[in-house]
Amino acid sequence: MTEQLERSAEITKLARLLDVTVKDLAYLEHVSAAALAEFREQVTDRLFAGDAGRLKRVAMSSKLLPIPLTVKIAQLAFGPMLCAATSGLIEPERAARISARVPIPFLGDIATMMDPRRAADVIAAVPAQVVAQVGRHLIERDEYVTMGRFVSFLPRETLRVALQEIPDDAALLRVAFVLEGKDRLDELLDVARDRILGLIRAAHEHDMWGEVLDLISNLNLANRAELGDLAATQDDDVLDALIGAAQRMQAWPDLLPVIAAMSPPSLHRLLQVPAVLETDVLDQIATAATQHDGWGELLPIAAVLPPEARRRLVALPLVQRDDVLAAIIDAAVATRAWPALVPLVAELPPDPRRRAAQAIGRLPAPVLTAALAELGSVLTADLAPSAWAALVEIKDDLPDPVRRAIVVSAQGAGRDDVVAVLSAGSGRAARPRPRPEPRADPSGL
Amino acid sequence: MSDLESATGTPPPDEFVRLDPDQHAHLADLVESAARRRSEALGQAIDESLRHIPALLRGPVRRSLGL
Repeated sequence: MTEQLERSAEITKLARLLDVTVKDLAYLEHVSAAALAEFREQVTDRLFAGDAGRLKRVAMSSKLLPIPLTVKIAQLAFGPMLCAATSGLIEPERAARISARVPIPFLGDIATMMDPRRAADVIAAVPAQVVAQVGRHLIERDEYVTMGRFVSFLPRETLRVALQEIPDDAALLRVAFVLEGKDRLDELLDVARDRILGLIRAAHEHDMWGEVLDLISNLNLANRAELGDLAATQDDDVLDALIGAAQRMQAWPDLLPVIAAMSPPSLHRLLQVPAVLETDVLDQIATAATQHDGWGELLPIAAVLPPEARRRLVALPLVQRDDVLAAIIDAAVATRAWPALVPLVAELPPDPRRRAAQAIGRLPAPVLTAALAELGSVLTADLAPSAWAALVEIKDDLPDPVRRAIVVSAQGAGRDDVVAVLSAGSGRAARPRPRPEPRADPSGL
Repeated sequence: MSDLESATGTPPPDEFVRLDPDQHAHLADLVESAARRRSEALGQAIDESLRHIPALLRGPVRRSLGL
């Protein structure tokens, strides 16, 4: 979906460059956005190279004229296309002085035809207030593509001033979506940090979740987490829409790290939304984790799923495959997430649970020893009785070293009931006596 | 060398091999037309700009423009 929108933006830019309509280039709709961008740059280079000598002489000649006359000739004789072509050849300081005297709509016309790569120094030299006014003008003309091409070349302070002139969050989201040089999205978000909630609401009001998901996929982990935490403060209908969009656009590979990076209260809130617990959604999430090496992120989430949802997750045929069980165990080892693995394995049906336990038993001895040390740190008196019950449930499927380690930990935790059951060697049906929960723990452990 | 490569002066992106010859030719024609229009417009703009320049400056500007 994101690719489709990016391709559409690229075809729009190319059509403008060639002075034709988007419809004229409809046959390019199966070419990737990256290839279209590469071709557009080739065409831009060709157009600029064709008249490079004459354009340089024009730029040189303009230095002979006073600035007011240059501004007059620019408007009356050259027009926006040729001004755009020469803009990168004029000294930045002079270009900045000229820009301050040119009417904003004319500057806007020039901006739509400029190649920002060739005028980076000029763009950086233009006063922030002029850039901001041009930006507002371009937004009023729905010139998001032009804005997206320029943002990457604006100094941070200019960007801050310009964003104040774009109060419409939906417009900001559109600019972010077509931004060239998306590695600056984190900086854009830094400058517009107070707009994040507005961006989420705009996405909901204008059905722009594709743009939000694209934004998320290009942010660093800290910004993803902040965006996720703020999204979690929204009503169920907003979160339902986000989950529905992620499902339609198969965006879980991008969203899974966001959810994993959420704060515990935000995650708890998200998991109260029924849509995220539906089997189809869980299936896509598990598929994304499997295909994108994401079980390290999904395991801690799975551990705090409501029990019914966790049962639906482990009931998925995908999750019961040997290779996926191996990936889950590898992730538990790599991320030291053994405590999160316990409830998941405990919920598996008998056959895959036995295979999972066997896979754990096949781990190299040093790995198993380290894992047991990790597990021991959570098998304490604070551990929820439900987790002890889960361990008892899978005791017959566990390798001996693991069972012995659990017995030792249970002794230390004062869980004589667990010690008795595990030391008995068999009796899968036996369960520890109910004991009062020591504390509320949203992790279920 | 394809029509498109001739028009841009560089081989098109690999994915463009999927386009049929007519589409290559169409794109090449668009690129050449755009370059021609730009070149013609630049010539006209230079001529027009000289009309706005005071007589005193016109000579130096013409020399600077290589005219």
